[in-house]
Amino acid sequence: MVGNVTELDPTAGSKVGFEQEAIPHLDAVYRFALRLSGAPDHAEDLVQETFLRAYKSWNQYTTGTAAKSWLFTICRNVFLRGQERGKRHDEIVEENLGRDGPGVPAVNPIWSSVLGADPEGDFFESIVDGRIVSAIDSLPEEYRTTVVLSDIEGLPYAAIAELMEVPVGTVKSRLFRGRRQLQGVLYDYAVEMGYIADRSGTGA
Amino acid sequence: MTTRSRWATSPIAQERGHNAMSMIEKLRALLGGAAVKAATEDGHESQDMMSCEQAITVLQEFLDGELDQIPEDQVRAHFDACERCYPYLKFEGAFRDAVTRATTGQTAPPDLRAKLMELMSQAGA
Repeated sequence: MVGNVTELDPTAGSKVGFEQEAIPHLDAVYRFALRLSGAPDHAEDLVQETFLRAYKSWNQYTTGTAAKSWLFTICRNVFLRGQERGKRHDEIVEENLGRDGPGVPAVNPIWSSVLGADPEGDFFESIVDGRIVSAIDSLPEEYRTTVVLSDIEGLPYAAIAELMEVPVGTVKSRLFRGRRQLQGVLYDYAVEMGYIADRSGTGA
Repeated sequence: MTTRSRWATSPIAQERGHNAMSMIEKLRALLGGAAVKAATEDGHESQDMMSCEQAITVLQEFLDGELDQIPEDQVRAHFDACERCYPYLKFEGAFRDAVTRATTGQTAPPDLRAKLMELMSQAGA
């Protein structure tokens, strides 16, 4: 987009840097914004606001650090600030338990539900994309963001912790709980749709 | 690398007088999900073999590539050998695959990039 960069123009270099380091994450930021807001229109606004803010504070960004995480952080802050001004606010009750670790039983209760019928979770394959996406959107924001950043965007625990300004133990806890809740929603749907043959009662 | 292959080749196991038959039984036990119990009969091997409980506890970290205390090989070896735990690994894997599959196709609308560029040129630098 920018053709000639002259060394005399101090802003030109930064603009090129922004285009090279920030713009490539557009799809990821859009996906994230979409999961945060749940609506394409809102997501577009969120992305525009995110990139505009990032652009304006680009001189504060240190080259070589994770631009993607930085953009996600801005995006979530913009989103949360918007939430405070009205709309829905998700409440999470689990965290006042004060546990630092995962704080979730390691054995997933859903494993016993699928034991007789579909122990390896083949039913997940039968569920259409849109249904999975809406199940993700049904999670409280803290769980949703954590699951999206980990399972969709592939961020490490430490990066998520930094981004959400919580300890790594909390990230793990949210991830565990978020995934289980999501699995529960998808499991119920799969049973309803008949993707899982209900053989649990027969002792098969 | 895995406990299973070590068992098959370990000279120590042979020195200790395990005949061919008991080796086969051991291997069968390992493959049959009684891995932990079989391995703990022999103190030398048990230090490399984790319990089902341990394996399940670190399952999420293992899949996330975030193990911080136990070597990945050791966890993988357990799930490979343990019939009881293996489905749990598959289940969690199938779940993650579904989440990834459902969302990877999502990309920004084509005109959004152009809008951003315009916005930035308006904002100056």
